[in-house]
Amino acid sequence: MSRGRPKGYSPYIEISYEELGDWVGRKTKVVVCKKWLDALTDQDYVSPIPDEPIGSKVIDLHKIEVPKIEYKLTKFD
Amino acid sequence: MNYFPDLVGQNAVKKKLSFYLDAFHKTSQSPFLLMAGAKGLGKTEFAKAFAKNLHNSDGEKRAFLELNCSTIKNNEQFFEQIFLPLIADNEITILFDECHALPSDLTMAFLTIFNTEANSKKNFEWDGMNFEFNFRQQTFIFATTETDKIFPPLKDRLTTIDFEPYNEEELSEIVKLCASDIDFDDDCVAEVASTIRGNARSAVKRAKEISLYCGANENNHFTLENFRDLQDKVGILPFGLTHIEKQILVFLKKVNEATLTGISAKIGLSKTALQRDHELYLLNKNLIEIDGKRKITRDGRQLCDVL
Repeated sequence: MSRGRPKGYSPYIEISYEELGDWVGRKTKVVVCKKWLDALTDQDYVSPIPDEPIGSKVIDLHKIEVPKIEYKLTKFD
Repeated sequence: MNYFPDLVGQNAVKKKLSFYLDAFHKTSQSPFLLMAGAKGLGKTEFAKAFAKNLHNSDGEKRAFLELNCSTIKNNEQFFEQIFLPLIADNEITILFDECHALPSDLTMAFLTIFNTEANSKKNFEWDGMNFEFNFRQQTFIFATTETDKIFPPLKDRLTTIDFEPYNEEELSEIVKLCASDIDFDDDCVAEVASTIRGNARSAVKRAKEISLYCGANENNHFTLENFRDLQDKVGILPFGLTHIEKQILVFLKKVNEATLTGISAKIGLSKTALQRDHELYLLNKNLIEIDGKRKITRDGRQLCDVL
């Protein structure tokens, strides 16, 4: 009986930054390597708001429902 | 021109709205109206009738959108679900019903949007996007029973239309209009109107009860005797009193005077509910008086004797 992960399996997958933004929004916090960010921005980067990083909790997108506004549209003859 | 041929009463409202309609037909603009008054006085009906008299640039009647403000939670939801699909670039009249329940961020947005000075257009920027309001294309009406809960600067931007309670003559007319297939005895309609609590919605409901009664008896002639029978069957009291109000009167007659807490303990309703829903009406009809404590009046005692 085979056990464990198949050969070549990786828990990581590639997704474009643009597509990820569509799912989680452009303002969602993500965790990156501090050294990499310092090098990228050429300064000691300090996060303005300590926030929960993405991945610290599972977000079920199907469960997020925006309540509907009740309205009635009348077209007069 | 009579813009409101199907609506009874509210003559001051009709006069004011007719003036704005005449002005609209020349300028394509209307002030931002606030329909204010107690429940059942016809705020929504008049807003709808006003909208029905507005025409688009192509001569077609303008569509009418009724929003229940208590279901609007924030700006994002409003702009995504309502403004972009239904309002933007459209010729339409929008009624914000129960507008005292508008969320605070949309109220703040409206302070900017409806602060138009002499312009017929207003651009509102929010969350990096621009929303154009064109007041020649879009007519905005607000309605509420609770004007004291509207943010005062927003209220200042609106033109208030005050609705008054209907008198018995107008209520009789509404009953006859809504039960137009019924042949009423003259003394009967006045008696029916005396049991309606001053608003048009109650008159419409009473007309429906009468239609049902006549339908069940297969007789389209409605007499005072029929009304007494209907009163007995569905429990209609004089002045349109509720059975809780009857209990309050009977209790006050027995004890002479009582505190609000005492009445609350006896009747089993909260003090707020008693004050808001019942006491004001009994005071209005001069059936009780408040002099530190609650007391029944002479009119109240006389009514108690016949209840």
